[in-house]
Amino acid sequence: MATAEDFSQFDISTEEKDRLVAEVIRYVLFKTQQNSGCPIKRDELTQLVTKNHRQRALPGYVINVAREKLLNTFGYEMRELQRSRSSTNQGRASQQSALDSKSYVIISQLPADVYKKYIEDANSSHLTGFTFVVISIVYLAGGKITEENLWHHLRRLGLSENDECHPALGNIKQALEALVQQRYLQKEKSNGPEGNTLIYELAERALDGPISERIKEYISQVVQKDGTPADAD
Amino acid sequence: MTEIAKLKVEKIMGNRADELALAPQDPESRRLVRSTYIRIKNDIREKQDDISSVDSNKFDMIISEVEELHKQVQKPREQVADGEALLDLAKIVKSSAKSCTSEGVTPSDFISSLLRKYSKTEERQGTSEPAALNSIFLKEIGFSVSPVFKKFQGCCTMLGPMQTEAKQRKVAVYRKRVKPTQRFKPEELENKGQEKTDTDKNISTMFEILTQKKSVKLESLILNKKSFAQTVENLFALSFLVKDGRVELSVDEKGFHLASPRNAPDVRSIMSGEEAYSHFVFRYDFNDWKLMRNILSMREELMPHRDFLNNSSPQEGKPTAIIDLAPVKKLARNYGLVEEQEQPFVDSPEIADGIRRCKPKLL
Repeated sequence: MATAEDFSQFDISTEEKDRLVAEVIRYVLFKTQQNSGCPIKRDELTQLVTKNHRQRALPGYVINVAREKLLNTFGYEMRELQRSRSSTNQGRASQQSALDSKSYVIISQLPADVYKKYIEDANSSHLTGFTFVVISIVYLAGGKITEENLWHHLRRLGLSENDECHPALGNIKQALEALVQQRYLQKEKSNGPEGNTLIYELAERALDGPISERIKEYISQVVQKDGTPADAD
Repeated sequence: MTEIAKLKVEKIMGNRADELALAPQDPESRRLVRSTYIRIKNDIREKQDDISSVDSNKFDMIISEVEELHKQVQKPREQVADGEALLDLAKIVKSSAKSCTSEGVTPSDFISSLLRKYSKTEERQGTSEPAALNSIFLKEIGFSVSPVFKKFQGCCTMLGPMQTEAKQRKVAVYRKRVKPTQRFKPEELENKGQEKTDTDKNISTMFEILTQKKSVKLESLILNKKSFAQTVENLFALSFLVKDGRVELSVDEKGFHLASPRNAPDVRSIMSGEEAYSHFVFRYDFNDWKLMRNILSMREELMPHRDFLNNSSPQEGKPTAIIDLAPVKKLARNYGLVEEQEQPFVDSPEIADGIRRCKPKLL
């Protein structure tokens, strides 16, 4: 929470502070659309402030105020994500943690029923469905899955890796790649006895607390609603 | 037969069996062993869900088969095949163990549950095309799980034309002029056609609409009910057409503003003053857009909606932006295109004669 005491340490007027906060909010709102939902790096927001101001702590303060305002005025949470490293790179993780960048995604704070009724866009529901299915498969496989295994499960749903003209998703491989760019998944090449294997792992956006909990909840609902024992194919 | 003799016979038989087992294999039997391993590996890959299932005995069957085949393995190639088969089995068991963390639900169970749920949907929808089924299936899933992500789509702004950044004026660099010699030949550039900007595309589309409709209401031409940004872009494109004299704005008896296509004025009429440029400020803000939306019905919009999110699927019933049209030249008095093609003081024979006549004759 940014307080008035924090503001007093900076040698800028209230108008200037408001202008910087407005610029950050505006950037976040429009960049989200331009990025197709990919997280916005903290560095980009910092640059908006440091363009004209040298104070070290000012960018952090402005970003905090912008987050509060976005929540109170628009009902959107600017959720902070810390970039996660692949579990195969654990040895180097501690060295690189200082350099790991923070990023932000915008999440609506409306109640679920209101969001579903008034906000959910019918034109992009198929992408949401695809995202949920892929994340669920990777989660149920223990958080990590080989590319071959993932496509094996997706093929059962009629989604083939060679399909470039899917009526809803278009190029399915690119749709999967988009999930990597949006930081729901991360991919890593692994050298094994059979050569290079591509492994997909859950990334910070899918591992984020609220989203992870809701995914587990919905998976349980899907499996329980079905009721009948699963047939092994 | 005495006991000692029986023991001797058994020992000889045992030795013979060992000798047979260790006897060098011929290439044919080795090939057979390797092909059996390949078959087992394919089996493991295809039936991995069965193998990891608690109720199935597929794992026992396969591991027994591998165990039996292992006894025939002597050479490294077969050893590698044996190791790979065991590795595949171990991977499946590992992923099955991991899935126990998710209360025993495997990805296969999840997919099966989804498919079963969808089969109920199929009965409702009454369609049997697989591709269409997938789309409906994904949309239904997406709609029901939308509260999981609560995505924010972002605000659409005037992308494209407004992305053009002001270029900094380059510092002029003067270099020594080299006189061209007889052998000098300037480089010939291929005219591959310039890339069209978004504004050019909008201008082309608008002009094509005007050519077809002849005279339209200004509101119908520029308004986009879904997007204020695209309305302003349409107005921006219209301003170019008006500036070049390709579109005429007029007011009818009822006070409606009309736009109609026309030919651009030629150079002579501009030079002679017959046609003149004039400017006016078209004030248009968000409130004006809201008012305009109430006036027009949905069908009266002429310019197509430009969908940036889903470019692969053009909207039904709306014409897509027409790209391959004859280019609309942007003629303006400040551009180099407006050139005088006739030089009256050079080519006209009468004036040339006049000049000659004015020259005093040398006697």
